[in-house]
Amino acid sequence: MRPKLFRRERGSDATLECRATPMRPNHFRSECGMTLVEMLVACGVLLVIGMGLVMGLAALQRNFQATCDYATNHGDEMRISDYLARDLRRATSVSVSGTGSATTVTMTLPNYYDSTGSPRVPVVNSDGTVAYQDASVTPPVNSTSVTYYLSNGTMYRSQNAVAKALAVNVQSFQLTLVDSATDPNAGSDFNLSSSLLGKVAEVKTQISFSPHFSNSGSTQNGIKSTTFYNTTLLRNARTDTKVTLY
Amino acid sequence: MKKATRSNQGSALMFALIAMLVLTMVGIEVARLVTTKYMNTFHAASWQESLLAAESGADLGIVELRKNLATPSSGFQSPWTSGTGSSGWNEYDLTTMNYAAGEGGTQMTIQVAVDAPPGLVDGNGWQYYRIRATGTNSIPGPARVGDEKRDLDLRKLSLQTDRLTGQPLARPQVSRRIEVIARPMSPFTAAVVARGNISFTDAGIVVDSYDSRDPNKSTNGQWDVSKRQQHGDVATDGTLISAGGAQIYGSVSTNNGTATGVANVTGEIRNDFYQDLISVNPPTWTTGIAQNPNQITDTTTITSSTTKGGARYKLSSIKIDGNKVLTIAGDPSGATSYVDIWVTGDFTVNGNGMVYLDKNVIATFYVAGNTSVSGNGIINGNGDTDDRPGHVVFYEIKPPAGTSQSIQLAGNANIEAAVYAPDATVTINGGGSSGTFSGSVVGNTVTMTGITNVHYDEALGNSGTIMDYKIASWFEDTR
Repeated sequence: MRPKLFRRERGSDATLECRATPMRPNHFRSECGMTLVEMLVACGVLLVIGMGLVMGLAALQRNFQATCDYATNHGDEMRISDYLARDLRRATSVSVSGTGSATTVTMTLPNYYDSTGSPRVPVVNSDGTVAYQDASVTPPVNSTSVTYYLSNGTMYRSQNAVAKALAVNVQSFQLTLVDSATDPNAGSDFNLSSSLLGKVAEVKTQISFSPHFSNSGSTQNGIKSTTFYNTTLLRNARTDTKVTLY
Repeated sequence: MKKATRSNQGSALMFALIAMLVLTMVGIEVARLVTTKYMNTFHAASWQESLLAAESGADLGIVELRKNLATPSSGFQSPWTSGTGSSGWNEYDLTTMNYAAGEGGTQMTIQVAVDAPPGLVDGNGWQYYRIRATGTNSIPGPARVGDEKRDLDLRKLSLQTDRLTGQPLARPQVSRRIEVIARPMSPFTAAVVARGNISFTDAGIVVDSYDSRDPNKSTNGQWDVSKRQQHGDVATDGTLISAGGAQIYGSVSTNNGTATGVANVTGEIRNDFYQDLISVNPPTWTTGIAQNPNQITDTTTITSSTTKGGARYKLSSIKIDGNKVLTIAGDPSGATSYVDIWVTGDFTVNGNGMVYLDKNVIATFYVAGNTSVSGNGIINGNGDTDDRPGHVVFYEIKPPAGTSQSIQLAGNANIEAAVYAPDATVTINGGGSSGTFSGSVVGNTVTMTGITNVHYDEALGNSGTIMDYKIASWFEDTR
């Protein structure tokens, strides 16, 4: 049995009031209009629903943007970490100065490339070590340096006075280098046994970013920085080319 | 009112279509961003794993170099190839393909080239080797770049063509290249090294070092207690060193084992040592062997040659006792001269017997039997200021299976020599009043008793036969 539906219909009596009548086919519906109250109620409901939708979409968009920022930051951290690890592996020494955003990392690399960018043929030093040296100058130059630093929110890698930006919009950058050979807590930091403390040249980098959320509602306390860890074995620093056991 | 009805239904349809369109566009954008990040992850993983492949290639090169040490000409066999490399020197090449279950690509290619640049030779005449290895790993997914150009600067992906060869590619890949320099190593890098246990049973034992090349670390090239050095290292591939309270001026190392009685060890106590001690094969001489003498039992003089390999003797045994002397005569000019002596039996010096070397003579003994120096026996240790441990080197040939080999140094024997006997039981017995061993000893096991002095000459670290290769330099070529 079809349910009896009622709708308001403009009547033919003098009061011009609508009355409930059994529902008729749709094409008769336009006979009945809506009152101001009905309109206001309908508008109010639509407004509430619309505002909810707008707020929801805005939140969704902010969330999406924050996720993109997070992924971008993660990519930036990983890129910086990979650059550092790549240079650390081939470095003969590494040093750190400054703290926080003023941190500067300097590494000494073998002078592998000649002026044309081609690899040099190495030579053997009198003590048995190996060097890639530029013999065109006196004394021969065996090394080149690479520097990592932060300037105006951009992370740079500089070699031979040529700086390359590795990441932009870097906020609250923090880079910590821990050398297992000098770290007093190397046992826990590097999971080294006591017999290896101070003997293995591993370097751990910790890179911390603050995600650059642009939402005005975010507070600094609400923005937790992410930290990217990398532990690298210094191949050249570990290599013992002299007459000892290792 | 059909018209009105149609209009309402059309609006609903339009709203639905627009909503679907908007949602689809949002979905596509999200998928695009997520896919890009996903690809970035694969790029990074493949890039990391290609370095593992390159380092594996360097290891493969070192393995072949070491094969040649154990058995000459056994390294760099097929599938390695030989030819003239891009540098113009002969090089060995290998290309191998593996399938890896990594986080990046699964197809991994390793290319290795090993050559020996003529200038890469040390003062000892030892050739260093250059190993260049390229590791290539495929990148899963389409040949599409990531969303960050800086990542491309770092990772240098090959998407359509191989960036190193220019050849078109069927699938994207990433390559990394490293260059490793392998340095030859002497077997005599420590005072005492053994495959198995090392046992010192007396607190009167002293192990220290000096450097016969350095007047600040020796006097007239001889050990001097006032210039004692701290590199009298003791190490084993085994798991036990019983230092017995001996005075060791150096480090003590085991292979993940235990060192006891180390109260008087001045250096480090380590447990991460391993050195493959390659057995000694008999010489492969076929010509140039002196026919006389074929055995030495009395005072004898044999000659040396200024040419390496120019004076070779093959003897059934050497036994010098009483006051007999085996003299190895040098070149009259005083130039450095060499002699190689292959003893197929035992080598014995006791009583007041002595092996005497003229100035600048370098003697190499290959002994198949047992070696014993006792009583007041002297080998290259009669007090001449030109005596050096590096002038007398003993290589104890690996005995047949099932037979043992021993080396015994006892009494007041004074010896300046380097002994490499990885298959022999080495016993150094003190008890005399002036017994001293200057040099280095490598054995299967080493036992020292009584009051014994072992002075390691650090100059031995650059002498002897090459027994290993170690990495002296590592560099990633990022062009």
